[in-house]
Order: sequence, then C-alpha cells, then structure tokens
Amino acid sequence: MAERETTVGPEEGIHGRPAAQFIKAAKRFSSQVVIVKGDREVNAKSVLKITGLARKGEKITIRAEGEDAEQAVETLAELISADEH
Amino acid sequence: MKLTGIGASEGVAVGPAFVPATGTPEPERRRITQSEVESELQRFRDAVRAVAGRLSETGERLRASGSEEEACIFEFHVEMAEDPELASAVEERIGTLESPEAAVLAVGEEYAAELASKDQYMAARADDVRDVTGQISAELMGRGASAFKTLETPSVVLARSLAPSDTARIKEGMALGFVTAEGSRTSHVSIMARSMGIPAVVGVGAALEGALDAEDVALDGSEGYAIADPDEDTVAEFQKKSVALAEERAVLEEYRHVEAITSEGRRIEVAANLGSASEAEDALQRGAEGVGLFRTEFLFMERDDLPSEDEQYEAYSAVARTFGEKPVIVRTLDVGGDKDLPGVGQAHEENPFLGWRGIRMSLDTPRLFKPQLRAILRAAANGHLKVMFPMVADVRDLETANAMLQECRSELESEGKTVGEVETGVMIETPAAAICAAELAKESAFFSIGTNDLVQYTLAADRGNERLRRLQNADHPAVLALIRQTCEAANAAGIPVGVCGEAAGEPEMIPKLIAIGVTELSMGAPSIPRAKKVVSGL
Repeated sequence: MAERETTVGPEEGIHGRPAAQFIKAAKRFSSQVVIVKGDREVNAKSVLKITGLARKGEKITIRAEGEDAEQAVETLAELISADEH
Repeated sequence: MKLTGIGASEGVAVGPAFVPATGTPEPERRRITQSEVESELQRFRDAVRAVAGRLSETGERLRASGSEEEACIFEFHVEMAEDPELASAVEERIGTLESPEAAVLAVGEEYAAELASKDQYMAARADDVRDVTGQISAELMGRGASAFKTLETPSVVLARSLAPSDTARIKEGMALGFVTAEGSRTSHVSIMARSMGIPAVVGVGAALEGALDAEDVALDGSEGYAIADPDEDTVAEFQKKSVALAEERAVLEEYRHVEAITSEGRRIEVAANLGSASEAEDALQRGAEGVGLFRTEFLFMERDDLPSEDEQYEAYSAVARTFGEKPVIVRTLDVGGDKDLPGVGQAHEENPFLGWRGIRMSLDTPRLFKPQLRAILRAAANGHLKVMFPMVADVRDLETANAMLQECRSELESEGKTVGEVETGVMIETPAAAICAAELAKESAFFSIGTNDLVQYTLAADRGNERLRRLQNADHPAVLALIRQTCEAANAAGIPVGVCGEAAGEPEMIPKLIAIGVTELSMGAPSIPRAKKVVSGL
C-alpha cells in the first residue's frame, strides 16, 4: 500500500476538466486508488465521487493498493496539486 | 408577457418559439423478473457504451472545431457515463429486480441531489449528472434520439433546462436564442450559448410555463429578459437592436486588435477607463492598449473604514499584471463632500464640485494619501503603472503631490520594499490647469484631459442639470480652445496628452480631438473598437 498527502491545486477544486483528467490518469493504473479527505474515503476512479470533494488549498490523501500503487500515488498526487491542467 | 431572468449570453433575437419534448421520458417498466437480470445487466452496459461513445464523438467534433471549453464538458460527461460507482449502484438495483432505465435515473438523482446541496457551482454539475443518466435511460428505452429532431426552422428555444447534449444536437443555425427556467451564468447552457454566440436568458423561473404556447419570442441576452408574443413595435425595436449589435460585433472583430493609425501616419493610443480592478480583463479583450484612467474610488466606496495599503496594493497589482507592459494610469482618489470618509473630517459644503476634493483633500490628509501612493509605488513593480493627480489647479498642487510621492518612495526604499518606476501626470480638468498647462508640463510626464469636468467648469454648467444640455458638450469653442492650449503646451514640452472623458469615445469628437493634437484616447471599453475604426478612417 502506498499513500501520499497533497494539496488541491486547481482554482475551482476537483471537478469539471481537472476531474476528468484526473480520472483518466487514475484509470491507467491497475491498483485500487482512493482519495481520503477528513473521514471520507472515495473511489478515485469515480468522477461522481470525487467531484466537489475538495477545494483549492484543501489537504487530501491519495492511497493505492496493488502492483503499481507507488507509481499511482506519485502521479496522481502531482496531477491534483498542479494548478493548471 | 415579459420574462425576466439572467442575461447569460449577450445579443438579441426574435423568432418563432420552439419547445423541445420535455426532458427524460418516465420509464414505463419499473420491475423486471429474476430470469431477465443477466440480459438487463448486459443491456445496461451496452447503453452506457453507446452513450459514452456518442458523447466522446461530440467532444472530438467540438475540439476539432476549436471549442476546447465545450469539448472538456463532453469529456467530463464521458467519465460520468462510464463511472464505476454509478455502474455498480445501478447493477445492484438491477439485481433487486429494478428495471435498468428506472435504476439509472434513481441513482443519477441520488448523486445530483448530493451535489446540488453543496453550492451553486456544484448545483450546475448536478444538472450534468441528470443529463447523462437521462441519456442512458433514454437509450435503454429506445428513445436515444433528440428532442430537437423536429427543429427545422430557425427558432428561439424555450425549455425548463437545457443540457449540453441538447445544445450540441441542435442543427447549426436553427437556434436563434435560448430561454430557460433554470440555470445561472455558470450553467453549461450559458457557457455553450456564449461560445456559440447565441443570445440566452436563463433562470426566468416559473414564468416560463406561461410562455410555452407562445407563437413568437423576443429575447435580450444582454439585459436578461424575454418577451412572449411581442407586439409589432417590440419586434421592430428588437430587430433594430439586433442590427446595431451585429454591426458592433463586426467592428469589434475587425478592429479590436488593430493599431489606430491615421492616414497621415499618426499613431493614436486607444485605452480604457476602468472603474474597478475587475474590469481589466474585459477591457484587454476589447482591444485596450492600456488604461488611460483607472479610477480608484471603488476601493473606498460602500465601507466604513479606509482600505489598507496592502489591499490597495493588491488591486493595483492585479490590473498592472493584466496589462503587463501596457501602461496603466492610476488616478489618485477623487471624492468630495458627497462621500463621507472616516477620520478625514469633511464638512458639509455648499458646492462640493467646487470644494475640498481630489488632490486638495489628498494633500491635506497624508493618512489618506500616503498609503495610496505607497501602494501604487509598490504595485508598479508588477507592471507599468503611472500616477495621475485629479483637480490640480496650479503648479504648487503638482509640486506638493510630487514631493509626497518622493517621500513615500524614500520611505519604502529605506524599509527595504520593492518599488517600481512611476511617471506622474496631471489630469487637466480645471480651466486653471489648462491655462497653466505650459507651467505644469515642466513637472509632468503626461497630461490627460478629463473633458467631463473641464466642460462643466469652463462653461459653468452643472453636469447633472437637465436644462443645461446644450452646455454639457465638449464640442464648444471655449472647451476646444482650452484643449488646444493644453495640447500645444504638451507638444512643446514633448509629453503625450490624452483625453479620458466621454468625448474620447464619441465618433464625432474624435477627429476634432486628434486634429488639435491629442495623442491618446481613453474610454469605456465597449467603445474601443469603434474609436479605432474612426481613427483608422481619418
């Protein structure tokens, strides 16, 4: 299992275009990936679950379990913390 | 009948009304039998694939035609259609013998309700969820085709709400305008309408119900209202507005990014007047080559305290950054007895326009003036700022103001703060300043003529007095003589001279101003393309 804490970068939080790009990237990994925010934990490959989950500047944790877990958290944490997509 | 809503996409339209068959048809079949579960699961997956395929096709088409923003909406919808959590929730319901068409709507509604409870922006995303799950449901019922199939004459579309998939399926040229009961400026229908250049009024509410059987509809997407079954006069009025707007748009497209050069080869800088920092981006879009007058009063209005130096620094920096290398002239505070500033100690005045205002108040009130000058000096490091003093009457006003600016610069430097280069200039708006222009030019880097006040002070005619219309005009020999005198002084001193009053944007005044030596025109942003056109034709 791998996990990483990061801060949401996009001005409008997680939804719309950043959300779609995040999902596309998440689906490339075979690992099960979740985003944890506070006491909520959601499927990182579900656009419906991640939309509106967090706003710019909020802390979230990306956690993955599976063969490519390490790579998944690294890639996805970087993607969600960037402020331009 | 008038429907009032939100102007979501500018422009006007008049035409026959078209009401699409409403939203998603209700599923007739709610339950399935145990033996159908397997085949229904398969049907659901096929429907998802079909809908996602169609959405991504539309997205690709939009991207290919350059509509990146809309393409992204469809990309987002593809992800929603293929959402694994959506699929497992629906499949679970199918397992409990719910029909897939009913199940997908129910699950969509759950997600939509959750999003809608968050905030306004997420409420708009709730419509996306309903749109996508509605499409999957319709696909399952064999009604995947569009409610817009029968839209074959250019019409104004009236609907409770419009989904991106709806707007994308309307044949090109068939939608003259959109009027919806729901929606906000950030709804997709608004975004789509703006990108397609189709006028739209959204959020008219329940009033829409009463307009659904109208024959014709007129709408004004700039003002945010529509009229069902307009009378002849209204139609004529809207057609007139429509022609004027089309003409304006053509001018805008053609001239906004050209340089204004007269046939003699004189280059005239065309800039914008800003009333607040938030107007900067729009002004740049309309072709402003700088800001000839950035009024700072907005920072001081509607509050009980004075804005801090840092707050002012942020506002000036924002505009400086937006304009980059293009010059932005910041005018220091110009308020009078009509606005009560805390701790400034204004007294009631018989004649506020001839009173303690502009630079007069600033020079007497360092606690008001110095934070503003310091903020401008600091913000100048983020772009190209100039500072301009209002209501200057003589050289002493200017010298005192320049000395205070210098004092602020020294203080900031000794505090180790970063400051930028700032040229200083005079707003020529008192007849005295115009008459003393030669003297003032020695201490100024530029002049900007504020024609509105110059007219009122020269002609002794109150700007607000209806009966004095004839004398509220810069096209008066006395005013023109003062403008000429100012230009001659500026030209002799080798400094630029602009006009930032209303006259600068008036097509009939522009040739006269340029003929007497004005080198820069600054006006409300919407007038910029037209002014460039006028200059180019001289």
